[in-house]
Amino acid sequence: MNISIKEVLHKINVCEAVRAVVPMGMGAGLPMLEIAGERLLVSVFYFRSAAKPDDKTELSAPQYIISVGYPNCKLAAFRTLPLETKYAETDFSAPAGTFRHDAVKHLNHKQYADKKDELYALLDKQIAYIGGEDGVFTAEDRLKGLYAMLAEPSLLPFYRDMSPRFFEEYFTEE
Amino acid sequence: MDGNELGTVFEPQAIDIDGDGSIDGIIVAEDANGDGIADTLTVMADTDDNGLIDSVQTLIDTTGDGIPDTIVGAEAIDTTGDGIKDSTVVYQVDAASGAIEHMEIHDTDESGFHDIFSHEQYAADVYSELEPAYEQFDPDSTDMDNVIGDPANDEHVWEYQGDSGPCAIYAQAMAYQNVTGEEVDIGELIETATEEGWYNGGTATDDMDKVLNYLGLDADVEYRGDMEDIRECLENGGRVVAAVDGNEIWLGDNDTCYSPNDPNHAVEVIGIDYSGDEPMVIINDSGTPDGHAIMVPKDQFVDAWQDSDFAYVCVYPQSV
Repeated sequence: MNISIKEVLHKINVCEAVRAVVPMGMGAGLPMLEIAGERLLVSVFYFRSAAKPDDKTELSAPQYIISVGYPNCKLAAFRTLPLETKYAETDFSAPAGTFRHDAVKHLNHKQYADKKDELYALLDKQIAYIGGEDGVFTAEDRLKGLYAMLAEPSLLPFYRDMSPRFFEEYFTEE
Repeated sequence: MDGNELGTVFEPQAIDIDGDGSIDGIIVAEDANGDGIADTLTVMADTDDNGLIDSVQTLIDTTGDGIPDTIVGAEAIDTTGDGIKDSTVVYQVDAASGAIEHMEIHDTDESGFHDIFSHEQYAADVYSELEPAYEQFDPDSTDMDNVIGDPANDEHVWEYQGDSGPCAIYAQAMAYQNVTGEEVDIGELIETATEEGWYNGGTATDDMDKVLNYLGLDADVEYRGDMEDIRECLENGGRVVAAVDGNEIWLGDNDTCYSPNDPNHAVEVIGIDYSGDEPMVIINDSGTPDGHAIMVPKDQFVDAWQDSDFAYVCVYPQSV
């Protein structure tokens, strides 16, 4: 039985791996999809954000990437980025960027939340399409536009690392 | 009498010292001798933008010629090179010559400058641009017969953590102090938690009880709690540490200041106020300046709590 991407995100947030390892103070970024063999995976990273006025909310580099199977939400992969050689030079305690970035500066809190909800709804449709339940997925461009708008520019390398094929497909508007 | 009363303090001004566009200090002028002219100027600064005052400098005109002749100050310093400001250097300088007339170094606790400077004043002035989404409990205007817990007393152990990492350690330390009446050294607890692996720039939800256990109290992290669990704990003399979405409490529906994600954050629940139309959960929140006895509408608290799967720790003075 399918579950919504919002439910998947909640299940990730309260799964044993997150409870046991991910420090409070970190929250999830935007979800990405990946097809691995016969399996559909949903991945998110966890990063710290410290709210500050005047669009100076500080974002730190993500430290954990979690992938779960869809729709069972069983843990498929857990990465601790500070322990990976490729991130040896990354300062995870320093701000990597700020929020709101230019593409969302015109959005108030509710409008931003609505855009995220729209992204989640399109991912639900795409998952239905991948699962063969929907004949065609016609919102590719809209999905690309939403990722291009919502993805935090300073965290793009981490989105790319989390799911390279999905990144190439949806994080760059043509 | 012409001029000001002796010791008149003029309105403090929030200032941007490093010119980066963010407020990072306060300047206060005082007319100490009452002649109507400011003769003492104090600059309090947050030099590393972490929300804590770490430098205070006072320029004093003792001769009345309008020119400061003495500078006294205090500055937080890191003597060990570990990035933590662990000591305070206090000094007096001759303003004209720059000669140091007096200097001494004091150890401070690692939580910052709490013992020396008023964070409450700093917070009220510097963070006033961030409209809080909450009100604070006022026992004088509340029918205390309808209040569960002891928030009027418990709010006094609140401390500001300074950054977003050690919230769970502060929340446990406050709960411990409230149920036992014994003070703890939070800096020391952070060190211990780091050594034991319970703190790594933050605390995992499963480890939200470890400091309490270390301090000798029986407590366990529970999930899927509800308001009845909190009420029961408080009614029986306990205190609650809960993991909530801090942004929902700090910022509410602030239109322009919000975060792209919803991190969990540990707070101490010190009471529930049933005296109004809507029950209010009363929390000590170390993550926000002046965060003692914050009143959160019950439904808003439950929404914020839900994100952690209603994770909480109930702790009593002793095992019950």
